[in-house]
Amino acid sequence: MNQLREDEDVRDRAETPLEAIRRKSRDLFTELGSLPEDSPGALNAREALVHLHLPLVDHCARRFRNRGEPLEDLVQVGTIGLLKSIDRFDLERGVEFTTYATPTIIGEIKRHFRDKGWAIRVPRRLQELRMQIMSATAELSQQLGRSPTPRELSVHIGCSLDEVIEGMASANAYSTLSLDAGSDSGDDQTPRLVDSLGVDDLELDQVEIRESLKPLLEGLDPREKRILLLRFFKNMTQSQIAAEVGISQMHVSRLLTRTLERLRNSLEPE
Amino acid sequence: MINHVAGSGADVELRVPADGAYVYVLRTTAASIAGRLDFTVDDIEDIRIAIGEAASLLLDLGGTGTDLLCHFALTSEQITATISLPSESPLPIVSDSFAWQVLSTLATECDAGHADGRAHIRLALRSTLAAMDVAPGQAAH
Repeated sequence: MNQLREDEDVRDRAETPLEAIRRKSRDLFTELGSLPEDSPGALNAREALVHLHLPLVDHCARRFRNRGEPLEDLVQVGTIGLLKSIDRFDLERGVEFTTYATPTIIGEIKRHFRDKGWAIRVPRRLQELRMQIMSATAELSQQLGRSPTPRELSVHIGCSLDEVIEGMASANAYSTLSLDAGSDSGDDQTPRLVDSLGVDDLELDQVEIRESLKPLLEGLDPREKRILLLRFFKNMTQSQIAAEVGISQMHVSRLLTRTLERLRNSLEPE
Repeated sequence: MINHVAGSGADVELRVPADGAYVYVLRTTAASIAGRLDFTVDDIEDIRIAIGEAASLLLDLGGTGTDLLCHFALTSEQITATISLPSESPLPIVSDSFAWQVLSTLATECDAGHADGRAHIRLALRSTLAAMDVAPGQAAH
């Protein structure tokens, strides 16, 4: 009962002017620092600090609302940032806790967006549209024996042509995460995504590659090289390559763009 | 729909600073135009890449502080894109280079030239539907 009242107390004071919060925050950090780690008192102080600073998380999260992610999710990842800040904060640094914590909280929220794979702000409506475009493209490609036009997609999905074109543009912003990258945790056990993709280079054996190009292509990862050769030397369409490699046509387009860019940079005179 | 307007042929011209950052604008514009004509999704993504490659090739000539001019001549079946940059000499095209291999795969026709103090690359990009002899306006039905 006492504990409950104390928590309410803390929440009430979070509503009072900034100074009161800062004083309360300093007191709690002093208390936290003076108690043995993991002792009940320390855990209580930590808990109180979390509650005291939740409005800060809320404030940070609101700066990122309307970007296609639910506010609750942002508050949740922001709170992880708050917990990290509380555990790392040292009163002797002489800075206010809020000054210290804000970048960490915002960092967690940004990381959430990055991990979700969106490179730029894309409204939820467009994300859903992108999924519809992807499945409709696959379906219509089967039916027509060629990739569909945006107009055919709009008829199939039941939206306007402009929406399809907008959706295709947003698809280009999706997932800039490299498939070569392991997981962010730094866990070496995690297999790279590219390792899970099968590689069958049989049909590429017939491709004639000029000697001058060989060293250049050697520098590419096997899948990038394969997609490049299929497109520019076997003359397969992006949709055919997508079916062959088992990724979406949009993804083929992005990989081609990226590989060409890399080749161009390596070709530039030194 | 651009389609109906463009039946007789429409022109779109875009001038951007000769800076790599603006290549994206050209790519996106070209893709958006192609989407409104009856090009397939594959065509559109190829056009996006082709315009980016051509513009980047021209930027290699230097030309910092100048401009990149992109002219699109549209019909319902074909986009003819001419990208140019001020230069004293034409683009040194090696026709068996990788870059040229890329452009000639992506475009129906491509050539490079030099006129009025500008080096240019011209790309003719034809829609798959036109090649398949389907009337573009009826594609959706």
